[in-house]
Amino acid sequence: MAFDKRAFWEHQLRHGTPPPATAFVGFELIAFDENEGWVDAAFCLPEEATNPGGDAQGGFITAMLDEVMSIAGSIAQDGPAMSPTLQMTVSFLRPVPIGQRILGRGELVRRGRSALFTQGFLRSEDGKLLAQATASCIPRAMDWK
Amino acid sequence: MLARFQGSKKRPPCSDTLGMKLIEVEQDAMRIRMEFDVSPSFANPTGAVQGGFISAMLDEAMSTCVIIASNVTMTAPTLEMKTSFLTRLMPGQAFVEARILRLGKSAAFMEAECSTPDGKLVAKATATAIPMPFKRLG
Repeated sequence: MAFDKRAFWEHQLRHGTPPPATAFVGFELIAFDENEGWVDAAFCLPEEATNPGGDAQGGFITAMLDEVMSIAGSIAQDGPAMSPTLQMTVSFLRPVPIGQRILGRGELVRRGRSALFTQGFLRSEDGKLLAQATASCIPRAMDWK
Repeated sequence: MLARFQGSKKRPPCSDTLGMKLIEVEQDAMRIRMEFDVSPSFANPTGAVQGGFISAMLDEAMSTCVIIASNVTMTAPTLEMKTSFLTRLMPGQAFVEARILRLGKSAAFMEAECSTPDGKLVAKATATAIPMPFKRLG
């Protein structure tokens, strides 16, 4: 039977038990397109991610971007897969609040044989761009549980 | 300076979350070293630490480095940060060394390296930040 990519990722992202890091940043799937390679998701950071200024520490902002960008790179491959990040650059445009709903978008920019290029965006619910990132990663088949 | 930070009761939540401990300070060289106890709650589907949380440790070290180099007069919100992930890191002990390349009036340039207890390089980051008087962030 042919691999049903849509059903596989629908199950993994919406109904599967999230990995610890995914749960920590409050990931919640909104929508995805496995053919175009994009995903929309909501996040909510816990108090534990607070920096001295009362907002989110940069690494936890990076963690949300890494989630949606890795998903975009994974779903764009042919079978069950992941996309380990090689390098990622994040611009912190505005403070990211703790405990509020944040909208994340991950997109595949280019799928090559041995490399994937992705980008990601975090926005507030009123549409302000809070952070953006680009990354390079490698395609890798993976048997998900 | 080391004692002052280690004895601080005003640690931000992110420092405790990452299990951060400042272990070395070379104030004149604008260099610090931190130890982290990385929680299994930061694992990705493979069981390794998700990249963002490695970035969190690197950011923590680079930001603290500015605070210490400025003699606790300045903080430096990160503008942009680039991280290379050389190999995977499993939850547990990790070390980060951060240096300031330049601390100017309107910009700061930092770099940091994360390594395993046996010295294997896990990740390397560079970042830019804007130094601001410490009190403005309360």
